[in-house]
Amino acid sequence: MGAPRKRSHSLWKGKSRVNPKPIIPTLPLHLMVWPGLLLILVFNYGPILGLVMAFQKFYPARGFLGSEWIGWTNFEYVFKLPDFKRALWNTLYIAVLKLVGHQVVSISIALLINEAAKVIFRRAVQTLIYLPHFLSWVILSGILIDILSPSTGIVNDVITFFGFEPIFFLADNRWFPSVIILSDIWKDFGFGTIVYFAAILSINPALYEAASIDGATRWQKVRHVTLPGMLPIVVLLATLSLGKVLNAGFDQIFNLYSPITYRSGDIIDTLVYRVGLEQAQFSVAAAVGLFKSAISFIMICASYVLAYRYANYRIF
Amino acid sequence: MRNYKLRAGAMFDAANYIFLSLVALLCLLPLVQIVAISLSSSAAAEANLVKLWPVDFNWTAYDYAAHKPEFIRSLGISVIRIILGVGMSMFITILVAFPLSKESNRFRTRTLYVWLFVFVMLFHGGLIPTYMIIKMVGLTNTIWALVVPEAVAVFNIVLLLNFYRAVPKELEEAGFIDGAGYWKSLWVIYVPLSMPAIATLILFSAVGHWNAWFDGMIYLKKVDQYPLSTYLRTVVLASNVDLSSTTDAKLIAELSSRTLKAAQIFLGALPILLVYPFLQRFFVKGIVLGSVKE
Amino acid sequence: MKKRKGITGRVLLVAVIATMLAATACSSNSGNKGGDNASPQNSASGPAVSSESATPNTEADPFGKYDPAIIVNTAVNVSPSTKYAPGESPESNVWTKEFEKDLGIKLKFSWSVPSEQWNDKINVAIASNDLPDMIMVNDSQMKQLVESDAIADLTEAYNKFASPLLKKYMQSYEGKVLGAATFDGKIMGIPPLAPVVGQSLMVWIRKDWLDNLGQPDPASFDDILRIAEAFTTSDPDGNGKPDTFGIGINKDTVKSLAGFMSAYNAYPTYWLKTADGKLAYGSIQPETKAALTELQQLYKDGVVDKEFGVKDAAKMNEDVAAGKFGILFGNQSTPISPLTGSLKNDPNANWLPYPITTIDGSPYRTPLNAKPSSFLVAKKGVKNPEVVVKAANLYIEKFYGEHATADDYNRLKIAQVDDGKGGKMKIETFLYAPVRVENPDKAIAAYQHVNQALSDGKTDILTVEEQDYYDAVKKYMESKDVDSWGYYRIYGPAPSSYSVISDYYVKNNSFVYNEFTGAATDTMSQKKSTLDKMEAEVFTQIIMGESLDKFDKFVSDWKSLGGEQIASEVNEWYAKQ
Repeated sequence: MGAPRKRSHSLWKGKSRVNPKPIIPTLPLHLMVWPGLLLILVFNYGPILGLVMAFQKFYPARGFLGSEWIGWTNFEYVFKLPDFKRALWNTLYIAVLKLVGHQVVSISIALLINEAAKVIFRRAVQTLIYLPHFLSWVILSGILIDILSPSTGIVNDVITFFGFEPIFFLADNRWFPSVIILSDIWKDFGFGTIVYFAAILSINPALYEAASIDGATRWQKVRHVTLPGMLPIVVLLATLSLGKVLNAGFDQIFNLYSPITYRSGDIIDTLVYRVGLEQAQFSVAAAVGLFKSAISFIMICASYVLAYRYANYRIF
Repeated sequence: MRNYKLRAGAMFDAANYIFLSLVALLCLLPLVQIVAISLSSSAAAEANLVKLWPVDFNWTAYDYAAHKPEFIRSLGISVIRIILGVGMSMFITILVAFPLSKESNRFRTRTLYVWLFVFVMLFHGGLIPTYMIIKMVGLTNTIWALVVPEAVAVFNIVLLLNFYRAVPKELEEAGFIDGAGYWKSLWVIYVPLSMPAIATLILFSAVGHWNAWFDGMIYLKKVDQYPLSTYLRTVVLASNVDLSSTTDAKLIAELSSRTLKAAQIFLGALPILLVYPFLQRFFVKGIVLGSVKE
Repeated sequence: MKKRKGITGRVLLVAVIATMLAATACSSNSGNKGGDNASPQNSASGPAVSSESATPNTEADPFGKYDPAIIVNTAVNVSPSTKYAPGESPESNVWTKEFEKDLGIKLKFSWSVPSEQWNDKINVAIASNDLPDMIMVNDSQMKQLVESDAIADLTEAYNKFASPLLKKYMQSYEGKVLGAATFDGKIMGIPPLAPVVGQSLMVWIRKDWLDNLGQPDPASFDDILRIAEAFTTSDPDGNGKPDTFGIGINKDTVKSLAGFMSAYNAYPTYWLKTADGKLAYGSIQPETKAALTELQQLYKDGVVDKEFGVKDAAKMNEDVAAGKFGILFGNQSTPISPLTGSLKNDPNANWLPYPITTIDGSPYRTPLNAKPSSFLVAKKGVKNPEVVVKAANLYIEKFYGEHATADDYNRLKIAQVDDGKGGKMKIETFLYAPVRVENPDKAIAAYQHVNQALSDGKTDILTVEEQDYYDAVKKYMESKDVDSWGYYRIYGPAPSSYSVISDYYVKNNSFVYNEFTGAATDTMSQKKSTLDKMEAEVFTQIIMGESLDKFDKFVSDWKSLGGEQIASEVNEWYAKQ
């Protein structure tokens, strides 16, 4: 059918093949994209221009044109704050563990739900696991303080029952990150599970039939049909989560941390918040936001390029 | 041999049911406590004496919230917002994800497009620039400010495009041979086969719109334009007022509102309890219309 | 064919993007270029009406009426608990009508937003040049607006139009109130005023527990410490379980420890006058260390909640309501919250206030912060900035002026309205006023009048507001109505909040002010958050058992990490006062 032709106009230098099947005009495809494109141009790219305030000493009353340009000063200010290094480390540590934990739990639970035969049971479980998502961290922090209390909390009751010393989780810098990570996973694993479950349902049933004919056990089916079938979505969600690697969860930590746990719990966002209490900190917040976005962007680009180069797979 | 397999399988099933039930229970309990608090007396709630059952049962919190006439009105506005918001967002998502799911050799610009979208998922101008744009376009003080700017949910688009890719290409090509174009292909082939994903996204989108309150507060001028979540969060509730510095005793007295807060949370979770089972009929294994020989 | 299609697509795309970006860039520029562009939208019929008329009319009459009426754009802070009579709303109510009737000012509302989101809304308004003509802002917004020259200088307006009463009230607390609104000698806003003396700290103790343990009332701070220990170890609630402790504190070290600290003459976060006439920062003084030493001991002994470090004020209040401890350092409003909660759960809970005394017998001084946290300002360039002053004048006049009537009170302060169920409900109409400048002496006056009426039965000396308090006090005395207990404990016969304030603090002038009432200095904006964090961390750690040497290290760190610089900036400001 002819040797592969090099596409000189291609933005991404990937391999391609001449497609011998009939081509139909792609104009309809362009048209389908443009409504969305128009919307993001106005409502997303427009405001992005406002990020110029990260490089200014921005006064809302003076506007963008009236505020002084100060280059990287805002960034320097944040990076030089005594607490910044610690906050950055905490952010990465907590965010990465949350990311991994979420994936593992969501995938496992989705698989387990899939194994349960009774449809009504499946639906009930699916509905119930989404519920914690609706609780705000304000409420949850109250609940967590209660159940983790070293004197009256149920968790410590269990711990002392087994003969150990009670642990003051929320005041202990060794345990605080774990509390944060685990409670967050509990709160939002329902989300990932639902998505993975939808992915499982999209797997072609014919593949399962074929596996049955070949005499596969349940476990083998999971390993060879379900998991590979879920893989694209798993990779996708993992990659997109990488984009949030500097977002360790402001709302949660703000409600749960205290001066004792600043050391292990202070994240970039809580640091910026406290700085912002002293002055209306538009510029600094914009600078930090830009920094976080830039890192996310780099991570997602890297994942995309790696997947494309080494597996010829486009994540999106 | 067969017996062993059956018994092992049955044991696993039993363990699975038990495990999943425990997990579901763990997720349910806090909400049960919330409901119990919302139905308790404020004295008991303030003292944190309510565990899983109401103490001094009463409906006051719901009464108070529901008897404000604005409650019904804002509920109506929320419903309209969800219909408009989910409708517009899902339409855009279904539409945009389709071309982006095609391969580059078929649709050249697709990679550029996809990065244009992904970029805005990561970079945000922030509250003030966004407010200024929305104001410039003239959407402030209308319900469209809550619907249009968020219509493009890039995460959803990227998710859906992956699901589209799972649909066997042969189906589309069969359609082309029969004379269908891309448009028909999308609506007749891809959408029906991606229903689990689409149902999931409808669910997330609806929940998002129901619970979103901040945008209503920022973009709408009058309290009588607020959707329910904004109304509950801002007008019905009092929170985080620094009581130690106010000398206005009357104001303080009325701010104890733990039961109100609990009622608000329950109302926030209510739609999922009602709507989700409804949507679950779409969570069925993919229907492959006939089979296509490769 | 493929190539062509590809190119066309891409060119088209780039063209569209370029146009869109250019369009947005242009419009965002023009949007920022000026309030002049924005204002026609703001004051819809403004220019047409207000241009000529206003100035000649208002010769210098504090209550001069504009004729024809002028339109003033403002926004209202809708508190969640604010009620409105049927037919009324934030935009149209007794106050808006009064403004129009008495002053010829038509208030038009650009938005009405609840208190918690007030800041976000204002920030966004400031940023998009959408500021109303007259608006209430907080102190950091005030500083910003002053620096970017966005609000009007009210000095002249104040000097010409302020009523005598307004001037009198603004001079209270050693002039600190108006001082906070003054930048470089110019008055930039009018702050609301509430009796600052209401911030006075006192210690609330459960008398029923004292009685259970056969302990007498405390006569000194040492007694209080002893009582606290007894509450922890001697089972004061008589239920046989060691489930109580002495003193309630929470993770907000600044607010919850202020009372305790003041007994040691320690005033963290306050700037105090020292012997050499300069200002020094309270947190780094040796008195603070002494207080922390004692707190550390109390923590060790379980006299303060061992979990205080993770609990916020709300959580601590739950413990109050649940009867977990018996001593709380609070202020005059404490009976309403959280103590009423305690009473509701345990009818025997008899919380009484006691004045704080010092540990070493020196004269006690309770800390007062006279700096207002919000200001009513006028946008720069508005035709009639003096409406801000007149708004304050009107409020004062209606309640404290010579011609104030009961009718005024019953309409504009607390109105009795049909509740639709055959009875009457009370509506706090005073909450609708744009700025509320209260008579700073009214709280003590209320206490005195209420008690006088209680003793001689003559209620004609009571103002209408005082009548409300009197009624509540009487109601409790007659029927032990739980919801009235709060007022009883605040304004009623001794021991009550104001009996403590009036008979001890006022009598002995036991007050010390935070001397720094200016806006944040430059180094403060940069470094204060770091320093505050360090302070909270160190104090909490010390209380929970870490070595007291940490305090000394904190003092030197504080100075070297910016505190020294801040102190000199503060003193620079002080020298100019």
